[in-house]
Amino acid sequence: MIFVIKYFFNNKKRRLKIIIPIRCFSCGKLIAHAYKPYLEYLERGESSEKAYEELGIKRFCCKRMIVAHVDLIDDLLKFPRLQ
Amino acid sequence: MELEVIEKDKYNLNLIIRGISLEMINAIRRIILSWVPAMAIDEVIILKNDSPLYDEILAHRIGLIPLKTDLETYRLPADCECGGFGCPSCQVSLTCEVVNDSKNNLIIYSGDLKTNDPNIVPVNPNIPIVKIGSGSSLIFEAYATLGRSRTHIKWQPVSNIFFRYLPNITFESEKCNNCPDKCIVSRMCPEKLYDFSDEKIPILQKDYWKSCTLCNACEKNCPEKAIKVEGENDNYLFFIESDGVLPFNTILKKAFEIFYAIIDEFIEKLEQVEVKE
Ligand code: SF4
Ligand code: SF4
Ligand SMILES: [Zn+2]
Ligand SMILES: [Zn+2]
Repeated sequence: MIFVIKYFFNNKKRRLKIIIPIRCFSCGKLIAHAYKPYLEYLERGESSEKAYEELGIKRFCCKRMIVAHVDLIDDLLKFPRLQ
Repeated sequence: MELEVIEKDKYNLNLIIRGISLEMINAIRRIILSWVPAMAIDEVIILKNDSPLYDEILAHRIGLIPLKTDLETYRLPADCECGGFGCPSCQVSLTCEVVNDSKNNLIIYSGDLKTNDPNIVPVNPNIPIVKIGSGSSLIFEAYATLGRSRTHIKWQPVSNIFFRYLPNITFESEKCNNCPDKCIVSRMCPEKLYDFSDEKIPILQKDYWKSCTLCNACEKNCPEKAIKVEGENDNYLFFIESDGVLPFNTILKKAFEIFYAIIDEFIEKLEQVEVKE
């Protein structure tokens, strides 16, 4: 947990990474494809409200999937997988 | 019954339906939600997985990818001649073979899935499945079948479907002249349907019925009781939102087909039973 919090705050520039859930936990809408474009919108300096509108995300259950996501797969990739 | 389309694009269909009973419209909604079949990956054979995710999680992610569906060619495995064992008329095979030769990490997208039927493809080629490191590989074979979302969410043809009463707001704006408050209602409405920019009398938007959620916040909080919010009986706004799995007319046609089939079966069974008079 401490690791996650440290990671989140140390990470000033949000990097583009993966393993966002494929669908929204609550409503089942496909959201995985929207995560990368969402971050690109933010990097261009657009508001997240506009990004959501352009990407067709309306409900707040889907919005929290994207906004609350911390991506850790790059950290996991630094370690070899135990086979 | 009257039907009117108020918004239609690739992923959304909004209708006004007038003169239909609550039970009927809910039956249609629930049939679309849990009876209309859709295609999804049901079986994954993982041959090599060097990614940081476990095989089970990977299989789950692959299963959730929505696939474009063809209801003409394919049958539900339970209705198929093969008895659910798996044959070309109830199953599509998809394969993915990615070897990362580069120095960098590589993201595997749903576009990397190769299918043996060009009609059954992921709805979007940019859905990330997993990320693998340099020198790693991911090889799997997957089988998609038709299914119903009563069994699992992945077979749901729509991502959201709901209806609400057509809102009808009676707004007596003369009462606003004695209002002690600077229109608390315009600040309270979650959909911002009252325009109070002239600071005297709020104006209710003309097409409020499109977005009003019938939350009653305006009626409850207006100090002069100038507003009355009602839902019109038997008139509904019907919203369907899809991931692009099936076109809307197919979804609706199939829903009625299923509805008739259930009723027919019921009547047939009823005739077999002796009803004592
Ligand atoms: S609070 Fe009610 S009475 Fe007062 S201005 Fe708003 S709508 Fe009119
Ligand atoms: S019922 Fe709710 S959404 Fe509708 S106008 Fe009143 S406050 Fe706004
Ligand atoms: Zn959602
Ligand atoms: Zn078969």
